[in-house]
Amino acid sequence: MKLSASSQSSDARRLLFLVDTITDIVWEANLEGEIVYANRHWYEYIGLEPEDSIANSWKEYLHPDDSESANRAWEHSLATGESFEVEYRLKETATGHYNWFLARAMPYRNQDGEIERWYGTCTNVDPKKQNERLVTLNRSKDEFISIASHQLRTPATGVKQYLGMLLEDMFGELTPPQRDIVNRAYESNERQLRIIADLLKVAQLDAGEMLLHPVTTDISELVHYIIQDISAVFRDRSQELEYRPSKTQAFAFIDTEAIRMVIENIIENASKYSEEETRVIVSVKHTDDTVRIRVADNGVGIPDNDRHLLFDRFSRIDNPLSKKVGGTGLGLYWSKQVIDLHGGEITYHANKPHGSVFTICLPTRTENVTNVTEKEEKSKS
Amino acid sequence: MSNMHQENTSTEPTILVVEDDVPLNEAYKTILQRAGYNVQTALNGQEALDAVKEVDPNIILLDLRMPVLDGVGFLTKYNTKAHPGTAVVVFSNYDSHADIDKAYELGIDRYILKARAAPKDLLALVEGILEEQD
Repeated sequence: MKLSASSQSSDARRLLFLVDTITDIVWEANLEGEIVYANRHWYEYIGLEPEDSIANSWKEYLHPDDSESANRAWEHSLATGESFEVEYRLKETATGHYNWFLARAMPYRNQDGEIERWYGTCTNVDPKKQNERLVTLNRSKDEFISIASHQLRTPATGVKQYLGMLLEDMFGELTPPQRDIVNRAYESNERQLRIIADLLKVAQLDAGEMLLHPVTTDISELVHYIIQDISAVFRDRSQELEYRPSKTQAFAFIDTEAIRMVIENIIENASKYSEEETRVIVSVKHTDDTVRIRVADNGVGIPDNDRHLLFDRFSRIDNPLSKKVGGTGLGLYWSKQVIDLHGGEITYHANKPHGSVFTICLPTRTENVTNVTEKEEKSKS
Repeated sequence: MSNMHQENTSTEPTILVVEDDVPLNEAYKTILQRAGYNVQTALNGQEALDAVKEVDPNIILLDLRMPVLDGVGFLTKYNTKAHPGTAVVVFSNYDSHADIDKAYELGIDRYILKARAAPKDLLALVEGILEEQD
């Protein structure tokens, strides 16, 4: 199939459409080495109209220093039928700048083994462009995660309502086995909703869209409320949660909602990764310019080899309990990012004889908090 | 011009559910009807505007992201101040600060994340608001 054929079958039309969506420059050359077809990207880059002849005019856009080697390589391929691969700079008409391209071409042979055409691509490998592309790709990744997560939330919310109706006996009382089954489905769905919420949090954070609204907060009091809310989790697992608040006033300039989620996450982990009937100790201490929150458990701890993975995204370290325990692997990643944004620090060390100790240090000075909203800035001045 | 407004003559409180996702819309309708409330539904802000022309609901549960006319579009045209007897609760799965601030500026009473509300939470919310209204 010749891309350049004037009477195009519907297959050819479809192929040409596809070829136009490719971000590389795609071209077709005849046996004389003249370009007979180039996709849309070529015309946009070079700035020619589709009606303009392409044949050999592409050579005018080569960087003078690359011209000789590019031409030589092309002549060689045309003469020998060997694949063509060369890097050269092409001038972008819109900016007048040269960008590096990796040009590749292969001969297309007919059933008798004779070369009919050459098909090739030119890929922009310019480092500047690569970086721009990566930044764009990264941003669109966050956007994609955000959109997909919100879309997923809707049907999951629907499931929550319908299973909830059954569990709340709105359609007759459930038998104990029925209730058990429906409850499992409900809990699975709740887990799904939690994962979605985690994904949204991380996408927002990665997109740099997480705005902090810091206020001066009494940390001892905040931790006290968190512990009250979380006590049911510990009761269910017959675990003890001991709180040692700071002996002196411990204030820090923090986004209460974000830090609350971080501390909740750490304390919940302590319960999750400990056996039943164990004890977790939470303490708050004010020293110099920092407020230190420490959560110590006697659970499974983290193997030495895996410690470096601890705050990475999606890392879920293998341990005796991790198969039973649900988790997205995003909690500690997000927590560390949030603490970093506050100019603080979160660290881990092993507890004796076994278990984990997580320490969060928050500065009490205001200058260390980044991503402060405009409102806060104005009120400070 | 004659007053197009009908007095709500039924004894049950009326709740308007504005939600573009059909299964969710029907779920909320089922939950509220079974609890004995009079329920109106709308699939977007424009349908909601049409609905409130007929009847003044006690409560409007308002989704934000909807086609045709979204939640903010509805609030802009509805003017909550002109309807002091109606509580407007945004029922959304989007919880950006920008959305929340904007909605409160337009005079809503509460902002609830749908994904966190089980049927009993919805009913408790509605009961609480109706008690305040009496």
